[in-house]
Amino acid sequence: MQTKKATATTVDPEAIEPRLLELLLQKQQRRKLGPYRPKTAAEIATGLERLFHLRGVEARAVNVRRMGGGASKEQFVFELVGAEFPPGYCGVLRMDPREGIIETCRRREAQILRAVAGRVPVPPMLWVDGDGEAMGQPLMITGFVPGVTKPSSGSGGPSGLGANLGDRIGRALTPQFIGCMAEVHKTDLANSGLDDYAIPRPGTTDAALWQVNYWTKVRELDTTDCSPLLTLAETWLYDHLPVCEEPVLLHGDHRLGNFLFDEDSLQITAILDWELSHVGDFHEDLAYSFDPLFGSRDTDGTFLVGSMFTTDYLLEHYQQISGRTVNADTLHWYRVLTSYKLITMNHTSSILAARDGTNHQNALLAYLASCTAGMSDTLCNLLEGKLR
Amino acid sequence: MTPNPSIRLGSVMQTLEQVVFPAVDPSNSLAVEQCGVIAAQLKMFLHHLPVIAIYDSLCRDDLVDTVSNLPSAVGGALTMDAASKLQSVLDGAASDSDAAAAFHRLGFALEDLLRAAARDGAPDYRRAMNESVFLFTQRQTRRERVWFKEAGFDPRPQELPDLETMLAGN
Repeated sequence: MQTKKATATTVDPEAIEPRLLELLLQKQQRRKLGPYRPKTAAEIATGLERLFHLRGVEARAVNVRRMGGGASKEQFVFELVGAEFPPGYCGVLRMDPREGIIETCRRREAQILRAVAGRVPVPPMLWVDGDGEAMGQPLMITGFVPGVTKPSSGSGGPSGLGANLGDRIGRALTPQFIGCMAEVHKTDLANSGLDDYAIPRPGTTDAALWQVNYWTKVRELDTTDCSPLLTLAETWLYDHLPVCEEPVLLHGDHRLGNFLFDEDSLQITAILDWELSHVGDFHEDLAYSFDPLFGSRDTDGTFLVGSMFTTDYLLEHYQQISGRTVNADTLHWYRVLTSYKLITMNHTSSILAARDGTNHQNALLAYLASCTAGMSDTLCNLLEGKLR
Repeated sequence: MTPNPSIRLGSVMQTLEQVVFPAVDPSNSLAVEQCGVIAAQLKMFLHHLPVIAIYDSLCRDDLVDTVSNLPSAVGGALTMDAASKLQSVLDGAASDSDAAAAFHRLGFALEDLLRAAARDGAPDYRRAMNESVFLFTQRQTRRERVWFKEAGFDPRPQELPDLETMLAGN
């Protein structure tokens, strides 16, 4: 692996995507507003009227109701009544709470949905209010896409964690799941309208450095409790920054729970939750799939990504369809990064939001934070023997 | 002292489960989901409540031992300064009546030393310190996995002892 030994003189800790840094700093200001009360359906209906008026949209939103799930954003579904919408057409509103487990950008999410539409199944992008002009919080609205995140007869934890698709569904969805990931990576970065994204320089450690810097900045701003383990990981990551030859567009959260499928046709109907998308190293999306949190073990104890396929299968199939070659050391680095960022989300921002009451699901955030213990075990295993 | 906190919390839980949760509008998905989370969190907390002080002390004492046995600092000004500050936090940590607060103060000071040593610590010293701290983090992680096993997120819960066994030092 080409790595750059980072030292105090070579690492620029402020090298972070400008839009992401702006969001983190805005959150620090918003925190002063105090606790957050979840919006009611009636408030959302009024807010939609205001949004449509501001955008000059000739439509009404009726039958507004909250959607289940959504540990990160408040989500509502409603029917759109207007000349340009067929009868029964539904929209989905996705709105930031005051604070949450991650701080992300609705403008970026809208840009990426438009960038991959037609190549990857995604909800149709309708409107975005990146500054919270209509309801006080940034939001976006897409068309509703039917489908389920897990078999309707099955069980699973929050955010799709722990769900099991079963053999028949898993076999059908596997090539689509990996194919979608590879297709996103093919996105033309220069001509896709990704105005709020920064692009790391090819052939440098920018892609890796920006990620470590970002999550380390999150820790700096949001930490409540110590974590020597995270700091060991932080220093190891800086010591072994891999070079990224060709930055690509990444989903950033490509996993079971973040796509919808049709239970009859077994087709993926939409890839969802693009809020962690960014431009970086393709190894990062692959490494994300390796995290035990996003898979399960079969009866033989073999780890299956999203209960569907082995990590060996993922690497082999991805390399085959993308033409890229996976570097084992780089993949390991990104697995450590994945672990570092997942723990950071739960160990810092999530706890802070729960403590200050600034989310719509404070109790859930406080509960989810307990998954840090299991994730720390993953990080220990990844670092074992690497610190000598 | 009477009624003790466990009885008070247990009675709250029972009332929530038998009276309040069933009265929640089933069409209010947010409220229904929160009821499930609240019940799970309170159940776990009810198990934790009588032994929080023991758990906090166990974590603090291990960290104090770890820091006490770190190799003597070797390196540049940043490392030597961070090591000196860590030593000053260590003094008194073992006897602090708030074990959790002492744990985090000491942990943050240790993190400062890890970062300082990454910048100007002698390589052999840094390796030895990282190894000691890593062994501590493995022990601490195992304790936390046992502590939160009931939450249901652990990747291998079957390999963990129960809480009482761990608190007994096994």
